[in-house]
Amino acid sequence: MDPQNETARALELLRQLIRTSPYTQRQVEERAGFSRGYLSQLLHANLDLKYRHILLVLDVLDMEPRAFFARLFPDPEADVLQRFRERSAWRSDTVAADLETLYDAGLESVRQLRKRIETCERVLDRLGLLDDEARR
Amino acid sequence: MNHLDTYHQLVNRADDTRHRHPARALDLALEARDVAARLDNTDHDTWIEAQTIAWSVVASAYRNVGRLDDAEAAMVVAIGFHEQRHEPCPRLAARLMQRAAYVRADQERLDEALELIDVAVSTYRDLDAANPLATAIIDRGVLLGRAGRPRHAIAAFNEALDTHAHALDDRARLAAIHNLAVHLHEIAADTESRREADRWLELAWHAHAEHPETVGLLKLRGLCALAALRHGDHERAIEELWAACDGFARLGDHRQQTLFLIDLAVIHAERHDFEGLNKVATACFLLLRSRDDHDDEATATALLRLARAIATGTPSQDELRQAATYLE
Repeated sequence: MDPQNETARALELLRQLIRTSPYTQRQVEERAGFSRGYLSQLLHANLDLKYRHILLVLDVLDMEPRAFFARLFPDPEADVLQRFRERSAWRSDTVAADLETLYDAGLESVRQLRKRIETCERVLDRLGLLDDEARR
Repeated sequence: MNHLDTYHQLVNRADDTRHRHPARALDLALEARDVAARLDNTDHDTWIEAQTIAWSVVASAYRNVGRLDDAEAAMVVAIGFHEQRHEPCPRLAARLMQRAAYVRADQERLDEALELIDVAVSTYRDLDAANPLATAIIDRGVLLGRAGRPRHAIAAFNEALDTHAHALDDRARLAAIHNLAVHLHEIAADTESRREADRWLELAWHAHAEHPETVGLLKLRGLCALAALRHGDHERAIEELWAACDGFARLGDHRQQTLFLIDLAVIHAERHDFEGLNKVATACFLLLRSRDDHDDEATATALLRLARAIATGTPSQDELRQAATYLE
C-alpha cells in the first residue's frame, strides 16, 4: 500500500462527495470551520491531510466515517448483495413453493440431458470415436 | 416467437406497467419467471442471468403490490442465482442493488437502502455506464428524500439533471423534475425559495402532461393543491385534491385516495363548509362499501374514523389528524 496513492484516493473521494453534496466547496469550508482557501489547499494536496480534516468534512456532509472508509476500502468479502441476503428473514411460503415447483422440474430436465449425453458418449465409445480427452 | 423472446417481452412489459397497473405487472412478472425457468440451459451464465433478472423483476412487482415479505424472498432468490454465475457481471449486480434498495426502503430500512444504492452508483461510475448511472443517481435522490434528507436529495436530482441530462430517458427526467419540485417545496422557507419551488412544480406539471395518468402525476396534483393553499387559493386546492382523489380511485389505490380525502376534510372543516364535508363523507362511505379484500387494515380504520368524525358534525383538526396517523 502506497500512502501517497491512498491519500490521493481519499482526497478524490472527498472531492466527489463535496461535488455531489448540497453544498459548495466554500460552504463546506465555512461549516467545517476552516479558514478561506484552506479546503482547496487540502483537496489539491498542498497541505497534509489529517484524520481530523476528514472527520470535519464528513460531519458537514452528514456522512458516517464508517461509510466513508467503507467506500474507500470496500471489503470484497462483504458484498452488499450478500449482506442483503444475510439480513433477510425468509417469510415467504409463496416463493418457497414456487421455487420447488419451478426448479424441481428444471433439475429433472438437467438430469435427463445428462443421461442423453452419457448415452451418446457410450455409443461414441463403442464406435471407438471417443478420444482420451473426451473420456476424461 | 421463441421462449427467449417471450421472456424478454414479458420482463419488459412487467417493468413498464409496474407503476400504473401493479397487479397486472405482477402477473406478467410471474409469467416471465416461469418462462425463464424453462429456457434452454446449455449456456450456464445466460440461463442464470435470465433467472436472476426474472426473479428480481418479480421482487419489484411484489414490492409494488405491497407484498414486502414475498419481495424480499424473491430478491434473495435473484441474488442466489446471480452468485451462481461463472463470470461476474458488475452491471447486473448494480441493477440488483437498485431493486434491492427499493425493497429495503419500503421496509423502512433506509440505511441499508442507501448503502445498496451508493454501491450501485459507484459501480456504474466505474463502468462508465452513462444511462444506468443517471437513473441510479435519481434513485439515490428518491431514497435520500425518503430518509428525510431533502437537501441531499435535491443535490442528487440536480446532479442528474445538470451533469447527466444527455443520459436521461423521458421517465427518468420526469422523476428527477417531479422529485426536485417536491423537495424544494418541502424546504422552501421564504418567498424566493417558494417561487423557485413553484417554477419547478410548473415544469414538472408540463412534463407529466406529456404522459398518461400516473401515480406520480396524481401526487403532483396534491402538491399543486398545497402550493395553491399557500397562495390562499382554496378553490384551486380543493379542485386539485378532488382530481387526485378521483384519479387514485380509478387506479384502485385506496390508501392514497383516503389520504387526499383527509386533506379535503381538513380544508372543508376549516372553512366550515358542510356541503364539502358531506361530499367527503359520501366518498368515504362509498369507498368503505367497495373496499377490496386486499386493502390494508390501516386504510379501513382511517376511513372509518374520518367518516365517523364527519358524521358527528364539524370534525376537529385533532380528530382528522388522528385519522391520518393510521396512514403515516
